[in-house]
Amino acid sequence: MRFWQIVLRSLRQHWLSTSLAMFSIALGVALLAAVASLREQSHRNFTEEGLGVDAVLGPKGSQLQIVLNAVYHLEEMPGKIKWTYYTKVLKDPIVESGIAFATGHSYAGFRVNAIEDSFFTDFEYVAGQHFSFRPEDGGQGRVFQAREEAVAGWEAAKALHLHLGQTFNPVCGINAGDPVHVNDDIKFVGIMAPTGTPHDRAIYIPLKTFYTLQGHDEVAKMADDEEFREISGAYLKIKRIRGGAMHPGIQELKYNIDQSSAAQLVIPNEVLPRLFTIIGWVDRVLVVIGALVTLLAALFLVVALISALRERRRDIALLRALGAQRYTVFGLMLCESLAITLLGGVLGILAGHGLTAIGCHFIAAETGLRFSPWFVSVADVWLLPGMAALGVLAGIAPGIQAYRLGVLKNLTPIS
Amino acid sequence: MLRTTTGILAILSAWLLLAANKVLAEEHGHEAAHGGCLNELCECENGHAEVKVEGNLLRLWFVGGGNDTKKSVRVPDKELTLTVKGSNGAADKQVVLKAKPIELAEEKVGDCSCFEGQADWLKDVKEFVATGSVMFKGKKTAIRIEYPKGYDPDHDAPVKK
Repeated sequence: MRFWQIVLRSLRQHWLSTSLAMFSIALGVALLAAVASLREQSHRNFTEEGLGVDAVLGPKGSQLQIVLNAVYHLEEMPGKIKWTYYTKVLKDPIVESGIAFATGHSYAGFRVNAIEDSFFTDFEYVAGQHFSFRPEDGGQGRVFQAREEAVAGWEAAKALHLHLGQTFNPVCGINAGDPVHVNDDIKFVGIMAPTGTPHDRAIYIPLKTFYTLQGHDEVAKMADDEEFREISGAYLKIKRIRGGAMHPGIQELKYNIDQSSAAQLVIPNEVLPRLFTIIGWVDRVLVVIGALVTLLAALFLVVALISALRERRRDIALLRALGAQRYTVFGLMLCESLAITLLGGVLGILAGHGLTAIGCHFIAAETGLRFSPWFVSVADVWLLPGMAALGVLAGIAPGIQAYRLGVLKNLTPIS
Repeated sequence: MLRTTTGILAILSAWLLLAANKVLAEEHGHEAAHGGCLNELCECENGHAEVKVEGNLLRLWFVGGGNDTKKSVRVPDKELTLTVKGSNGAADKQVVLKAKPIELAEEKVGDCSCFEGQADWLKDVKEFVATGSVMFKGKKTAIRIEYPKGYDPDHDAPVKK
């Protein structure tokens, strides 16, 4: 019988303890793999891609709240800013363009944002990528042109089964029970092609429609009077220097705006890493839990191998009597341990991707961001060698016991 | 045994010293909003004058004390005169800084935190010490600028023996 056949037969003989050890290792590895994958994808999505927004001009208040509202269509804006101030900012030499918006309305759980129509032509949700309504990209219809027209993001349209020509009445607020603009029937004239960004989860109406919705009596004046007009914020595109880098003057622009009494400039790529610093402990705790589960599984494996060895003392002694060397029986134990941890590791990585797939579904539902269950994280690369090392370590103690086993003493029948 | 204990204590002490030094350095590591040098006004907690030289242009921003170096402090002065000490026996030079209100911060002359002044000799200067005064937070306050390292008497003062 070959060496590996002995190993496999031994594993099969103790299938219950083997599978339990493998399952516990897989559990720990799955947790580690899923946490690492979701963490790396979140970092990439929230910090590197920036979702096409160089900077957000917003009211005074929490910078994080502004980014979550303007870029991710979550939370609420902490206030409003004057249109006249926004136009002043647009004149700054390093500002290339701006797109003003007004948030605070919703429909069936999706945000309804009033926005300038340049959003659909100038805004790049990823460098060089503009929104599309072309059927070949998955879109339908066109950009709004009239007051009573709206455009839906792909996710919103899919979730609400929207079709072109359908009308809706926006809710004045984002909470359950907020009043509905019952007399404002707004018609969907376009569905944006999927972008894989939170913009898929919003509905857009023309900026001026926001001011003239029925019930906005005081605000109606803002549609025509620029001195009186207010907006929730604006996306700013900053000029580029050589190499495509953002103009370094953005820091001075930020300083200048931040000194004003009513507005601030928020740079999403600076704010979001801070969010990770704040919530970073969550994934650290999960990583520690995963590592502890794996460690406990390894200890369980040691115990299982030692107890299995006790039952197999006679078999080992027989092997030795038939000419097997001490290091051969040591190797047997080591390889059994290695096989269990490696199989557990492979199963764990697969289960980890399964967990990630579940996480992706919930993240997409909540934020509109698309994560991939097949993303290869650093953990995927390091977990298997790590499990191999753990397997070797866990096999040492039972291996030494097998190595030291007395042949004559253990050849005696047990019963 | 005694030697081991002493060794462990020595390592622990060195580690504590390093950690304390790092904490102190971080605590006083104010960040200049414009990438210039920060000069304390009287004392660190009172405020700073951030100075940046770009060619023949000297720019100065009055900012807050402590960790508020990214918050502007407006002063009523319409212009400031800085006297730059001549090096190697050369005569002192003067540079007049005019108020340069930050429009986006709704500033105006007489209620402004930013000043600018031009002088050709600034182009060639690598370092200088300049003095002047300003009405800062309602008090006449001496300005001392040590360019480019910044003026920080609390931390530059030699240790008394």
